Amino acid sequence: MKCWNCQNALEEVLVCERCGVPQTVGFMSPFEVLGIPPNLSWEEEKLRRTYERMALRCHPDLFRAHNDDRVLQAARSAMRGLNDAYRTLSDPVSRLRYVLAASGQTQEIPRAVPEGLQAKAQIIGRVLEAIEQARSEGDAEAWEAQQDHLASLQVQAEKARDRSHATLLALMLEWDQAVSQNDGGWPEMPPGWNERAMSWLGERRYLDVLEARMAAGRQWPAEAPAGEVSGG
Amino acid sequence: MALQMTPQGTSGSPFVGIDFGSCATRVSIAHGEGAALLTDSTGESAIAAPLALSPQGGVLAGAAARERQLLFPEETLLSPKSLLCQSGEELAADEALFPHKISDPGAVLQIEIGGRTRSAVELVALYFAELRQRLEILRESPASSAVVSTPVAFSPFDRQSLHLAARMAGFQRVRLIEDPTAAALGWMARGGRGRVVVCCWGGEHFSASIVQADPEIARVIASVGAARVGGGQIDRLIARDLLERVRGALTTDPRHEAHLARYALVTAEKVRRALSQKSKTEVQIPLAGAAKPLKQAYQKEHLVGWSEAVLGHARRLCDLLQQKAERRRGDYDALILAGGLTRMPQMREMLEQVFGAPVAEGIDPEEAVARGAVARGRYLDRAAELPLVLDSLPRGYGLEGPGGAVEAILEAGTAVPASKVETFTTYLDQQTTVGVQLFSQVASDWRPLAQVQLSKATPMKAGQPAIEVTFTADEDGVLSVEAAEMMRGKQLVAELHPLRGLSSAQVRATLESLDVAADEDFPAALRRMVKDRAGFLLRSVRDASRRHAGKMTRDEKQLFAKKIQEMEELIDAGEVAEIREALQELEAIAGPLKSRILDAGLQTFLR
Repeated sequence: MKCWNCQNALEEVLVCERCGVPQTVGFMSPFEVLGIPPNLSWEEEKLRRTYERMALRCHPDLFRAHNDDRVLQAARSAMRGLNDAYRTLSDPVSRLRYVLAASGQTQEIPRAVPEGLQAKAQIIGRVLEAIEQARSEGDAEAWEAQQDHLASLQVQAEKARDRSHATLLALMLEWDQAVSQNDGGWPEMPPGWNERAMSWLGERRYLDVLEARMAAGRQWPAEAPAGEVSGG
Repeated sequence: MALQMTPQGTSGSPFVGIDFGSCATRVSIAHGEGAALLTDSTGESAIAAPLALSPQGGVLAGAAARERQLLFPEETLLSPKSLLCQSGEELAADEALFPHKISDPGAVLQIEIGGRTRSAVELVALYFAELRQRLEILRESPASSAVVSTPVAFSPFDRQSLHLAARMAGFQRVRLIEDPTAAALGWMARGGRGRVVVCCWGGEHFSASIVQADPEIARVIASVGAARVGGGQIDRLIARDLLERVRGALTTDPRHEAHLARYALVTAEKVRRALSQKSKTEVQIPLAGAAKPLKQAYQKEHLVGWSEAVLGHARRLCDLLQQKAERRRGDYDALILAGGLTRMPQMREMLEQVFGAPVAEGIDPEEAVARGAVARGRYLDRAAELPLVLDSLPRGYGLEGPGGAVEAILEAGTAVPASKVETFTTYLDQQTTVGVQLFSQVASDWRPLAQVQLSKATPMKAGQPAIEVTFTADEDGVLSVEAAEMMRGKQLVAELHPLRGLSSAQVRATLESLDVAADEDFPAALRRMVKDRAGFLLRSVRDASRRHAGKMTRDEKQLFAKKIQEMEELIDAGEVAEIREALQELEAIAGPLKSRILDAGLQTFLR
């Protein structure tokens, strides 16, 4: 790739290291845009610093004084690319999703009950339904009666969340080892990793929905923040 | 190697900051390390919001328009800004308080004023053009770059209108800044650092943001805002109360409905200001035809009642802000307050209580946004090295999915500029157009924002085309859309049709019409502007001194005759600076006469 402005052979993606002019971002992985290896475990702070350092070199506000529309448009493209890349990578789950998508796994992953909760799935469903019904009917007594069940389910859900987190760390570590074995390049998929990552994502989706329903169930409707906020 | 920065051409004039307000606007200019505010002849930095348009073609903005509003309410728009963010329905519901005929309440609001129909964008452009002229005449140099403040609540399309209005007014480079971000920048210029919560509360809007202010970068973490949550909303309640009392006490002339309403609004503002400071106040409405003026006393409790709804709404927005940022009371290093309403003790106490942070000191709430806007201007001019501001979307945007549920494409808090690609297909054979509804996220609701219209797709079997649609939010938060067929790379026509605001085609057409406008060389333009203004003033002074000779003393008549003659000579041959000075002098001596004429005019409906 050459810089569109000075024809220098580019080493960096977003900004030409010779003339300082930002570059249009084409089809590129978010890891390439940020100039980092495709690892899954990143410290949040470190990623943010990398992002901000690059923003300080390619944000369009730096190039307004040029009065050159081509430079401004390139800066917009570079900054958009940088923001889009950082948005994908700044969250571990979205990073994992990206790696799966880049490996050809693009279809929607269905929710799946995590292993530790499978025996409880039916009870969970019954309790939550009872609570939701009590809430919608305004039956405070029935709602109250379910709160102990809900509290014990809460403990189970938290345990499942902890297990899920441990699995994610293991998945990330496994992937990162493959990356370092490939000298920081995009690695071969470790055997069975793809399937495990997908089932992890399915379970995570189940847990997210479960926790949202539980949080709503703990609140009696009157305690919910009152009034519709118009304009947010 | 460092990049060469060479501002060139007329588009390279330094950025000015415009705090565009519903009650008043302030313009700031970079001055040494800091900023100076544009002031009028009385030294006042607030340029009043009213815009007056006479059927004879005269355009007045600021104090001159405000002075006339009681006499010519139908010709004087109280606040051009509030046209950009309110629907025709909302304005029509204000009845006599909004005395202009809405000729088109649709996406692009059109109102009849000064004998013509004009769009909201045109009216704002007229106001901006007046500001630009003042700047150019004052400084004798082009003003072609502006950082304009926007309330958080302005939708991407309201922002587009604001941007376009500034372009139409002759600003060639325009950058927007959200009110709270501007106030945070002003605070940073004084050395403020840390996590800060900023609340801007003025005539019509409440806007608040949480900003992480680091030495090199200021990051907008979350923001909230809404319209009709300001002082104007309280004033309308007071004005309605006054009007009801007047109508209850005496029969009013229906021809003076608009006059009366405007008088009530002006009085309402005085009541609000008085009761913010003291426990009671009394106002008089001296109506023609009534035996004695209507006297009305109000207590502080009245104001507390009128403010309740506005206060509660703002309070809910503050809760929503903390929820969005996943922050709580006490999580902040400082609380920055800007805008006139934050001076009201009741409002201030609520904000302090909700956020539990010390109020940043040494900030003038009225000037904070203008000063911050020019701080961004200095950065854009590369006159200040730091800080870079990373703006983010105040609201999320989403598309209606196949099942009718809305799916987010860009979430609230997304750093801008940003883009998102979505793939569409057809569900009919030979279909060449695709329409999809774009929504914006308001609290937990999705509300329709615009229709996305794709056309000129290659006819194929249903479900076969894969159309990639790229939604882009630029650094000002303005949305645009592009579409292409994935296989062939063929570009489709992609248009946005907002419920309120200009369609993509209208924006393009307006920008094109600006591009073809001939570039006049600046000295000639300046001369023309000064001469036009002098000519306009001369005509009105000559006319007034002839028609209202009876209201002038002999000395005054002599002074006027002398100044008029001087001006006539200068207009033809004088230097720009000479004409400008003569203009200011003539304005100053005409002031008292003008007041007398206006007062006399008011007698037709006031006692």
